[in-house]
Amino acid sequence: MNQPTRRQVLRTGALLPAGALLGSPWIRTGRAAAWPSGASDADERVLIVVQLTGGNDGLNTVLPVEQDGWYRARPTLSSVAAGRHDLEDGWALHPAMNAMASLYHEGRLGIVQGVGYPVPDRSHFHSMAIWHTGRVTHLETDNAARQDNGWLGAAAAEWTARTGRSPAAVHVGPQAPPASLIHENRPPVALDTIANFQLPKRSSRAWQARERMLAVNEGPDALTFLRQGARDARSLSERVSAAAGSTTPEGFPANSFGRRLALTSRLIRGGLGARIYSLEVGGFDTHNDQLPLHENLLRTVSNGLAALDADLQASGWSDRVVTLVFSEFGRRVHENLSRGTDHGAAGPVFLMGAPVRGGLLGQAPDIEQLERGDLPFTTDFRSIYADLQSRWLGVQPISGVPSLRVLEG
Amino acid sequence: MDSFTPMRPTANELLDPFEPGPDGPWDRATAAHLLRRAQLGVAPDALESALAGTPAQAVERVLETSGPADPTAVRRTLTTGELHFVQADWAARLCTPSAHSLNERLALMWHGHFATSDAKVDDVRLMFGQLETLRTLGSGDFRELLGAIAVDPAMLIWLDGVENRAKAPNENLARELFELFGLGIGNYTEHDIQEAARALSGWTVRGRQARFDPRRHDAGEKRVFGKSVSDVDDVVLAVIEHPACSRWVARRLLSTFVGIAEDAALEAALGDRLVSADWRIDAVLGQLLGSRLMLSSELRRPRVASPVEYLASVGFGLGVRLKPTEAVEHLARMGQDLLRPPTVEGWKGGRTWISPSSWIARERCAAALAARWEASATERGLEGDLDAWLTALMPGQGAPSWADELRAEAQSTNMESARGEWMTLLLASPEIHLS
Repeated sequence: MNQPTRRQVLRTGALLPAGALLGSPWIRTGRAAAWPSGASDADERVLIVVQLTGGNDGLNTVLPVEQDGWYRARPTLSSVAAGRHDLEDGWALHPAMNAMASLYHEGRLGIVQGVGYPVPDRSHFHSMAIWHTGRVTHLETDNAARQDNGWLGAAAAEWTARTGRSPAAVHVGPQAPPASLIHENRPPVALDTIANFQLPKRSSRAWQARERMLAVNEGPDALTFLRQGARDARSLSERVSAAAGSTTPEGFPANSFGRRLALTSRLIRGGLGARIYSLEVGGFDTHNDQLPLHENLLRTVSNGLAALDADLQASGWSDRVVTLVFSEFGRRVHENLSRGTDHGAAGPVFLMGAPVRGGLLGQAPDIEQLERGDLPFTTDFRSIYADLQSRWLGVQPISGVPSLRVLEG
Repeated sequence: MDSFTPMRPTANELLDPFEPGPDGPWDRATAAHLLRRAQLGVAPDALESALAGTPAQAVERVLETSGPADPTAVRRTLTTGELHFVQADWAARLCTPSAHSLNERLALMWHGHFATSDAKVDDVRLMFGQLETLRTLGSGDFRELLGAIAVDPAMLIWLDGVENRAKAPNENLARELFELFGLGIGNYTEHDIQEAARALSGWTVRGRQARFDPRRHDAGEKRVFGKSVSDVDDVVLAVIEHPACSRWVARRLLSTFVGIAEDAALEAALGDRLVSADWRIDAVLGQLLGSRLMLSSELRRPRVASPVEYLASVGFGLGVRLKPTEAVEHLARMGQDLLRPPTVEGWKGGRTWISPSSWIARERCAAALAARWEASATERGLEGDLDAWLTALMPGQGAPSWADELRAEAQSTNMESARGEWMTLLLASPEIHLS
């Protein structure tokens, strides 16, 4: 490493608030002097995965405004074209997504179109399980034991095994974490607010008593396991509080997605050291009266992600964080009789961040080329995973599907 | 009974009745273990009654609580469409000793076995209907229970039975009927699943009732396990008649009540007893609860308590309970969201209950319980309290080695303000989270 690249210069202390990273066990001091290279450099990279639950209607998110077939298939829903934000090549974003359109034009948003997998499964649970495991399980013919490992859980476990660091993955939200984070039945770390991730307040005498109670060595294995669990919980709770700091970043929307993104940002910047963060936005199963619901959802996602991008840029973390946004399937090309859409097949995947290849990636869908009324997939979702696994997370891709380059370089 | 004890008892010997003396003591710890496993918690009066008689009498008394309650009050809340009323009502029943404690415990076991989630079913009445089926049929003839679940409206929605029709077969329900409910992996082929799916076709849910529509049914010839089957009744019968079925049910009972995940010999022996008892769950459970395997102190396996077991042990033992809706929230944060299991496999249990997040949730729950206790506690000396609490929460077990120190600490601090804190510490101690 000779001349520092522009990215390496950005990473030096210059843009970081003084003292922001001190006290974290994972950040070395003296960073401003020289950026460590090689494996440790890669180990600072973060992947944020945002799951849009319910099956986001891709064709009303990324609009094919020059395809007549779209207007014919969606007499009601195509009204969104009126306020659209043009991208390029006849594609535009939904009116509520002005913030993400700006990201696109600044080169920090990649949109992979037509993403899916062979033999689409229109069951929420089954399709989501496919995205979570990174395996097209419904096509696996052997009567093998149920495979529960999530692709993110597997990556987290591999990284922890290699570096000894944990937690590798954190789910930020109130619901049970998605199965993508599970590895060998171990429940992933999940937190919704710092306040709820605290052990009960107690006097220092009581803390000391607790320490002594947990230092005891007698009893069955299950008891030893519980004591370790209790110790780990306190230790992690304190690390999370330390990383989150005391100030809430500004500029994030005042809704739960915005709050969770803000918390994610605090944990990243505060040096918790996790490599994967998972968030979820629900409500995308828009069978009825889709227009108002979908507009709100897309506005929430777009404004939230743009706020995150701005925050990461301002704090110098922008080239170390990639955000992936996916849904378990797209929706049918034709609108239904309830001014909504039903479960479909392929849909768009979004990637946000400085390291991302901006622009429209993959093969653009053609409304005239459908399979049983659905967009056929032209990019296998596993190819996106493969690029992120090998070139961003530094772990083994779990499928043999060749990767699609979604990252620059 | 002679004094020679074989080195390795056979499965049947383990399942035979426990005899106090030769097989171990019938003492406080043993009686408490029976009550805790059978009813989720140990009420002090139930413990005394159990000790006053024989183990067989104690088991009888437990079995007397296997009948269903009649939750009329909660039925009125169904019109709200809000699941939390049903969840709260169930949480209260699970944490309060009653004449139906074994019934509720069994319903919880079956809920984990037939794991159906409102996250997909999205209908309180249907979820409640299934819960009522589990209560009504859960301690009786398993064949009836399986038959009822196969056409339960919530189940039909959950496993896509309503999508399964002749022109477009959906295998989901057939697969789980074999894999999770009745047989276990390795006991059927993919072809069996396909044929069973065809036989299960034609069911829909209309007006919250399961209805069979012959027009949607695949009436062609179908064979499952080499037998000709026509419809759901035939498929259920084929499952029951499969040698793996009784063993699969036995596995569930052994896992739930004894804590044994997998043991071919025990499953075969208990499965045979189930068949001999005409598939009656209460009969074979009575044998299991009174067995050497269950009651011998040498064979006891402590395990991580599930969130419900934790709350119930405090509810039964100390009479301390959260407000039911709060209990439901704490249970969900601890990882056991009633009527919304995470997957078709239910809750894996054991050590998977514990993660930093869920342990923090357990300690926060302990603080909430302690606050409830404080609000209702009467004036008492703190020293006496700690021993009483330990006895109530860990009946029959010796005080942990930290008890003396904790008692000394508690005595030397300001009693009034510290009581809640010491109770929280106690309720958050790992010892209390064992079952």
